[in-house]
Amino acid sequence: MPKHANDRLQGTLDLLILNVLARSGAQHGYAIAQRIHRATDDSLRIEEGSLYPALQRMTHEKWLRAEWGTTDTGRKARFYTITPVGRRQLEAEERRWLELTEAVGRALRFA
Amino acid sequence: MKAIVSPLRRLWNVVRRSRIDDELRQELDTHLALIEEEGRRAGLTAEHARQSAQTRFGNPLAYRERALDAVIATWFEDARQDVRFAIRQLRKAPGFTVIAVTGLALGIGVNAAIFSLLNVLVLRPLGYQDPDRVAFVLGWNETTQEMRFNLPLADVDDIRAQATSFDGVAAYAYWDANLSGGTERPERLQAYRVGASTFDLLGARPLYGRTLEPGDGAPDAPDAAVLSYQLWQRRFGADPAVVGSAIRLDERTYSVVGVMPRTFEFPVFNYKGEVWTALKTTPGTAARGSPLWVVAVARLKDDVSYERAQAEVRAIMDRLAADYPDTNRGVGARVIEMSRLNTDIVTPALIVLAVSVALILFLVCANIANLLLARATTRGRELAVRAALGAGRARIVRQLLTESLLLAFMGAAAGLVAAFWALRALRANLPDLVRTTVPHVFDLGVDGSTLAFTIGLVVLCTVLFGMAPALRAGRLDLNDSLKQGSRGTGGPGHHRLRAALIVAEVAVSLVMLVAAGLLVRSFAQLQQVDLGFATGQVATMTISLPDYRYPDAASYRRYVDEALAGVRQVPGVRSAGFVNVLPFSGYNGDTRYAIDGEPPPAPGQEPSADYRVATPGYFTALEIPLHAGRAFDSRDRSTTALVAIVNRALVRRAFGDRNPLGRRIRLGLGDGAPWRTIIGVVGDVGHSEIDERRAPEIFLPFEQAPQSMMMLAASTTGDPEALTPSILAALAGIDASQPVYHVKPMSRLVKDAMLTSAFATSMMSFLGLLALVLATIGIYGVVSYAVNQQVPEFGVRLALGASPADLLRLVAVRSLTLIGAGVALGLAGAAGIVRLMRGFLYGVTASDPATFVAALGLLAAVAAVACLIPARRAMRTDPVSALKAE
Repeated sequence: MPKHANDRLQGTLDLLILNVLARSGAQHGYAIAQRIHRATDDSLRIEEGSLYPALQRMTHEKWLRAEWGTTDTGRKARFYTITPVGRRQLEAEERRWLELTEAVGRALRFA
Repeated sequence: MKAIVSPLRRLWNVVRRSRIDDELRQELDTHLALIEEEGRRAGLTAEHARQSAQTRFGNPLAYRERALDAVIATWFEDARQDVRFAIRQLRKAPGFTVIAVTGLALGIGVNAAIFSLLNVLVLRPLGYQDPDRVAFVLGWNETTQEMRFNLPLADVDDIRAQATSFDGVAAYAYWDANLSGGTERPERLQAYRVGASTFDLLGARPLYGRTLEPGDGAPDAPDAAVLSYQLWQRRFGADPAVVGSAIRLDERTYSVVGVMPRTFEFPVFNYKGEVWTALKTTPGTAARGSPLWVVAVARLKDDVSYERAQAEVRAIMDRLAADYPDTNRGVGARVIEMSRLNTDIVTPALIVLAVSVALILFLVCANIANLLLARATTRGRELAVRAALGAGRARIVRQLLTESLLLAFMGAAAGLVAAFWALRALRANLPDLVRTTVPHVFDLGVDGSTLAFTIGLVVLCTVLFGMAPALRAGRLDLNDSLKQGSRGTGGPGHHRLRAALIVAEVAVSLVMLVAAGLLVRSFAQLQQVDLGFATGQVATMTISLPDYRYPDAASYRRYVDEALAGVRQVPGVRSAGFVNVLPFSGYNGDTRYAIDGEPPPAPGQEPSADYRVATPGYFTALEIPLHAGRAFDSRDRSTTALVAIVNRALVRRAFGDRNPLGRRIRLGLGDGAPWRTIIGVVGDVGHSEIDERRAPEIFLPFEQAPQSMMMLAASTTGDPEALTPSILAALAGIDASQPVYHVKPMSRLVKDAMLTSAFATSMMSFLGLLALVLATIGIYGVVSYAVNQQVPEFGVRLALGASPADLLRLVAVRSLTLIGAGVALGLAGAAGIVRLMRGFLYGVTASDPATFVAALGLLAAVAAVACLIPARRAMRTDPVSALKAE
């Protein structure tokens, strides 16, 4: 939604979470954090303090759907999946991100 | 956002165990446990793993609160967005917004005003402690089975001493008090002498000072007075220091001991009272057979029913009647819950009004729902785009409801402002009779309960006109809307709903037009009634001679003679006369009579007639025609033969076709009263109700039956109100300390008597026309919308050979069918509301055919125009452009 457009950092976290969920099935919060760590070779560390508010907010926006389930080790956890709305949001965020990085790249090359 | 969130977070903390919070806690616990598991897999000890996990994880409580903030913040953000968006949408359609808000302002305004009226007159309890336990014990005439209100003081004392049903019984008596002193002109007050326990019994507290206490009733106690709030404001400048000062009532000095609050209402069925003093009884006044009759109020014990109290009082009164037949035969008493007296009076008219304003609001809501439905379909594309961009169904419903709520709020705000002014105007123009007798009438206005009621209306309206369009939009088929052009979608469901709205609007407005029509006809009939006297250019006023200045009949005669002479000399006064009771003055009195030479009636069956005492000049001043014999003149003295004049109604009843002149009549019961010779017959006059049957009247000459309270009628050559100051000056010239009150032209007295029906008529006419306008707008809107939707269809039809007249017929038949259905439903509804109105119609039957035909004709004509205008547009459809647009 447009209200987050200026909030790059938050937008980035949303983008990463949506991306993880778009490429995998249902994941709980811990697994989402782990996958982002691994995908970025631990160079992007997701703060738990940002992760859960973001998940709450995105669920409320209907980008994600949350369901309770059990982990491999038998723990109760909330599993998140991406919704069609979330996929459209992902596309939009992705495009915006590419535009931004491209613009920044151009600026760095030609400035 | 922070400023909003942190108080809200505190609120959340209170309901910490909410579902979201529980779930979050569990989710975070899992996260922590998973980190621990990872640590253990990496070879850490269990304890070490937990410590390291906790260090890494930080404060879970803080996370939880941040997560909650995120939820609340989005909710708020959504709401703010909805409102902003709604404002934008409404501003984009100013025509729609203005129409909707104006309609709602009218609908909500009239409802708020009528609610305030109902609240003041019916719903609000009297301002006493446990008001449902406060009762009147009123005198009852067992012989005629009529209410007589007052009871002998001795009987009240016996009820107090013997009855076990009551926590207390108090008595009071009405008193016209002359307030004099200072530089202001003397004033006649509505005063009560009250038993000292009255205020305690009611549980009424003073605003300043104290109320009357048992000590004040002792024979040697100093005279104390308690002022009403209104008197205190009017005459004493609302100065609290008045407590402790002295006032002069009937030339006696009273010290003011207290002021009652504005909300205090003295137990009433007539005057509210302006000043209260202690009822001091002496052995003489308290004795059986004393002329002191009082009104009794009582407080029932908590566990005593009204039936039981009534049975007990009846037993006591029966015993008294048996023990003291001379004074108590036929004297009974009734125990009546005080709050009942008011509700009985006003209900049917108010029910019709309340139903009418509710119907108006329904019409307004139906119209707005209609407009919203039309908008929702043309907005189909906008909504579809929003849905495609990710707005959920609930979100869209919420968005549309926010728009409706905003409309309702704006309408309510405007409506309340209108109601405030209307009630203020009404309050300022209340007739004296209402102002001095109806409890709480000064509280008429927009108050807390009216406000609460209005907020309820806002919610109701939002649901009524916003729900259907919003839910429909929520069910919108995305593909459909995006595919179709800006013309939007209709769908069969829409048409059915619109059709139902037309039928309902026509039905409701027909009901209201019939109700209004009946009232208008009834009111017109009232205006035509010949009252039997001139109401045009007559000034009237009342004097009540106090016994401390005018102790005997001779002094009354002197005052009245001088007053008449003085008034008749005022330039512009044509004729003047006094009477004890003027028509429409609100007073009356009656007497039993017997005719000489007729067989005596059975005891208890004696006929009665209204009792009048008049001076020469009275019949001339009111232009009451003399049909036979002569009027009173200077020949009728206290020392000459006793005479009487009767009206035609009495002649009809007592003499039939026989000549009454010269016959003798006797007033009162028993053989003691003297016979009087009938010297004249005058015309009948209306007295208290325009539409009542003319009552028999007996007039005595003032010289032969002087009394202290008399009313002046002076006919004038010009505007009676312009002459009033000169007449008052002439009276002041005779006795400057004598108050003159009820100063009003005769026309006002008559107008006040018609006030209720004038109010109901103008209100219903206004509401009926409003209903007609609303229904017209509704029909026009629906039909013209339908025509717009069908332009392509018409194009095809024209292309296939239909004539424009065929199109006109197509549209007309469809809308006229709906109007016909509405009329049928409306006639059924009118039969219902008309049954409620039967009681307050004059000169028309509730099923008055003329009214029904007129209402139907008006409605049919207006409705036909409302659908023919758009239908003609259909006729002019240009097939080429219609098809091109597709």
